[in-house]
Amino acid sequence: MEIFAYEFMQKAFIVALCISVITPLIGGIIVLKGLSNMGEALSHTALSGIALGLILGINPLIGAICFALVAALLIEGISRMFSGFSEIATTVVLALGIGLASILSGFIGNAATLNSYMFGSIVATTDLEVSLTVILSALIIIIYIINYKNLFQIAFDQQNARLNGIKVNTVNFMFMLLTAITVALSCKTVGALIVSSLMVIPVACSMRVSKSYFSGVIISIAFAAAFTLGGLIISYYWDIKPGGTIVLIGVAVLILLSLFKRDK
Amino acid sequence: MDIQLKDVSFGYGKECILKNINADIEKGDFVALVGSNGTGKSTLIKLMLKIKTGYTGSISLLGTDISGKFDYRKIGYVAQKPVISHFPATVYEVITGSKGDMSRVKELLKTVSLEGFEKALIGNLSGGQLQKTFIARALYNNPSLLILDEPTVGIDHQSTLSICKILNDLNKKQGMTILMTTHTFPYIESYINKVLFLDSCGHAALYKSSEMTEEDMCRIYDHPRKFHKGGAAHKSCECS
Repeated sequence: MEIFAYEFMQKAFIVALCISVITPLIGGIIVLKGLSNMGEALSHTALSGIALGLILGINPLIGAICFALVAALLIEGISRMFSGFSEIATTVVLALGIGLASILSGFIGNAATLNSYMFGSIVATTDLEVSLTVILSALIIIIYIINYKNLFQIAFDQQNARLNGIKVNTVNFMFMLLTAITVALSCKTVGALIVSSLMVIPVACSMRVSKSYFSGVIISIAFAAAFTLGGLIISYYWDIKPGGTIVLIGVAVLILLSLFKRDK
Repeated sequence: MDIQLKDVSFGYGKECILKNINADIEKGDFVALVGSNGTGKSTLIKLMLKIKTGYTGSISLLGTDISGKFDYRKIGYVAQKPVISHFPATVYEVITGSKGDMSRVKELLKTVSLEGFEKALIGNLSGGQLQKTFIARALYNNPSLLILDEPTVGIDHQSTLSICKILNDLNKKQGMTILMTTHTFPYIESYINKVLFLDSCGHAALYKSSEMTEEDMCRIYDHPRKFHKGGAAHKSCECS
């Protein structure tokens, strides 16, 4: 296919493949813990990190990762202050992130650059970003596999997980950091405004068809890969934004699956 | 002693929920923990499991004081309300905590009368089936002590009878020590050998079923404000 002849599209596909594995892995746990807004809070804060990176001349992806990590720590800290009301923490951090991004955007010379991070610009991926994405994605996947059982038990029943000897606070903290890195990496691909959708929609689709938790994880990755890679191909040939295309394909599939409910 | 409570007191601010609770539950006992709403039944369970902290006195489980390090995998626990019943997981995954020994799961499902349900999604189970699944999960690590916090709440009559019979079989045939809070005392009355009664003043009394008098039974069924002298065990209650 002509699309794969271009180096920038090869890089885009490598990044897309990595993102399509890690976003549903992290998204699955987030959805089951009822923290679907966390992706929004982290992505908006990552956007302010991107803005600062652009102002200082540092790679925006690094800025996104740093700010997303700080946001994750803030969410964890504020959640403990408001025990049982984690949505307060995500809303506060979201407000902080979008406020900072708004102010910092006024200092960026070329506004179009920040826009590309808001709505995604996977085709403008540098070699450093590809390497960073591949290495961090591999790290996230390995840590997830090692903690698969812990994450399942905490998501299902945190109280019982603690009684089973799982260090719940440590695993939750580690998971927050993985979420922050996933969000930051995904900002370039689909855009900071759309990242949380990519974390949630493939999981929602898999919940319509899966017959177990494990198969749900695998199916959500398959859906995410189909949306991301399909979205890239369509956006290439139709010359439309890849981030929005990816997410709209996901929404369309979710609607179709919802029309054909699984029988009990 | 599988459970030993010595002068256990606990409260919120100036309000004392539990006052100097003393009880010894021996290996093989089947104990119903009863009392009106708000008398601290669930609180006492949570103190034993370190879900709540801040009590005075001492609590020992399986001969070990829980104030230090305690391995709670030796204890099976079934909470009051099933959590996330729509979670997209199978009965097998819930019992094993994602993955484990399928033969052990099948053996446990037979124990709780849910043969063939290992691949069923828990979102498709009835309330009674779900609670049996959680009992099976609590038994997965072969505990010798099983603690249940109102396992039959919101469950129909037939399922309640079934669950109580399962617990009785675990106690009589496998020698499992069971402590169970319940508002459905009549269902469990013929199976238990002891009753731990909490009154609204925060005091407790441990009765042997075989030694309970009519007055004791009235106390348990009617949930009076105070103890009076008499009966197999008593404590004076000074409510202000």
